[in-house]
Amino acid sequence: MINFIAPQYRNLVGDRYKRRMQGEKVDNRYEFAVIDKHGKAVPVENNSSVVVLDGQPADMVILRDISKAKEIDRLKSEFVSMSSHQLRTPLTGIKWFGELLLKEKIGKLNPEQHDFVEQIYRSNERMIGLVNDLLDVSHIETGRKFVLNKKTKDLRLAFSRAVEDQTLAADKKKISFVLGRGFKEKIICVFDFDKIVQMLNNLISNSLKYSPNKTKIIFDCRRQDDYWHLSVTDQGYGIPQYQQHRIFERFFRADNIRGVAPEGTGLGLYIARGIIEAHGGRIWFDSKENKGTTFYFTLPLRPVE
Amino acid sequence: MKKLLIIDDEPIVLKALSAQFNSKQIKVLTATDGVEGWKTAKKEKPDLILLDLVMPKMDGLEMLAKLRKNKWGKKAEVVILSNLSDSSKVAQAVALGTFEYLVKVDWNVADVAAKVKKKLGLK
Repeated sequence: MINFIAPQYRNLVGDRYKRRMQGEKVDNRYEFAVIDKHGKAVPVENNSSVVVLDGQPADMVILRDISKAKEIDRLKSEFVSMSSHQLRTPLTGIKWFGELLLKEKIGKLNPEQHDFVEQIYRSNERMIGLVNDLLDVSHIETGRKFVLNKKTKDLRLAFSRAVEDQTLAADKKKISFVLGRGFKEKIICVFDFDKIVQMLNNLISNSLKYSPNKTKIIFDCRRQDDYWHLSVTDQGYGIPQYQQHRIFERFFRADNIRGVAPEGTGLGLYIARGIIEAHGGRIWFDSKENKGTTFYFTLPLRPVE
Repeated sequence: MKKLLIIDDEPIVLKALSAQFNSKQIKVLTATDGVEGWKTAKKEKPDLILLDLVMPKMDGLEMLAKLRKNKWGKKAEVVILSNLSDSSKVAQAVALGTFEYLVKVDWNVADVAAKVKKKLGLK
């Protein structure tokens, strides 16, 4: 019976079958490919449960042909990729010529002109960020994980870069950063520096946006088993209990913060989770309204394939 | 005098970038598609090529593959400067031996220019 499964998936399917039969809890929704009667590979989604047949445990399997869905996915991601490329071209033009104006390459600007051009430049940077977020989302959606450029580094460097990125926003609200004990020593880990900085920027900018003035943001770290456990804690408005289950959804924004910070897209945490999971880690949170929120995430000490 | 060839179908890119270089230090050549870029590269043998990917007639990766089959082109220094950040494209470009892959929109024009100058051994 194993013969109709595409060769490269036979071990995976066989292994999961065996473990399930031994009573182990194995995720039974996964994808692989089967070979049809013309010898063509067809992607399928597996859904199975253990039943009792004639007094013996048996595996009842439903395979759903997902080639149509895969094809639509591929077309969608191609569309997103091409259209964001098209969007980035004019954005590059605005960015580069804005930069040349700000650097006064073709003449001096009076303070008001400088300010106006700076507003254009900043709005454009936000637009670039949005397009980049959409691209990231399309990567997560299609299951094409982020391509990680992993290196062994001190994770504290990623924190200081992200803090540096957020200094202006923090100073405006007189919010200070506090390092917990776990930051006294090196936090050596194998990770993609840019992606982790992006993830930290998403967490920290949320904390900044959704905290009152003169509060603190606290970072901490401890080692447990094969993982670093890291946390970012704020003393902000928190996430309403009734909405907490939706926080990692795309485009989700909590009710209590819409008035405070109108400009979010609701993609930051969705992307943050995609980045952490691509590293083989987990992310979750703890939040009390008007007390604050802590985001926890783990990163493996050793790289996972 | 160093020679730099910028291959890009977007006039704004050519204009903003060309303005960054001192004409006494660097001779900037431009081309607006892969076919023209390939011809210019063969004839002028530039010290560095800045190559866009999505272009009419012949795209960047096709041109790069052609270049790598040529005796001189095999060793030519190429930096990809594109707004495409698809992982498969990056992988293809790396497989064809590129020095670096820059996503335009993530870079300031001055930083791109600084990178080019460094690569050419200029200050």
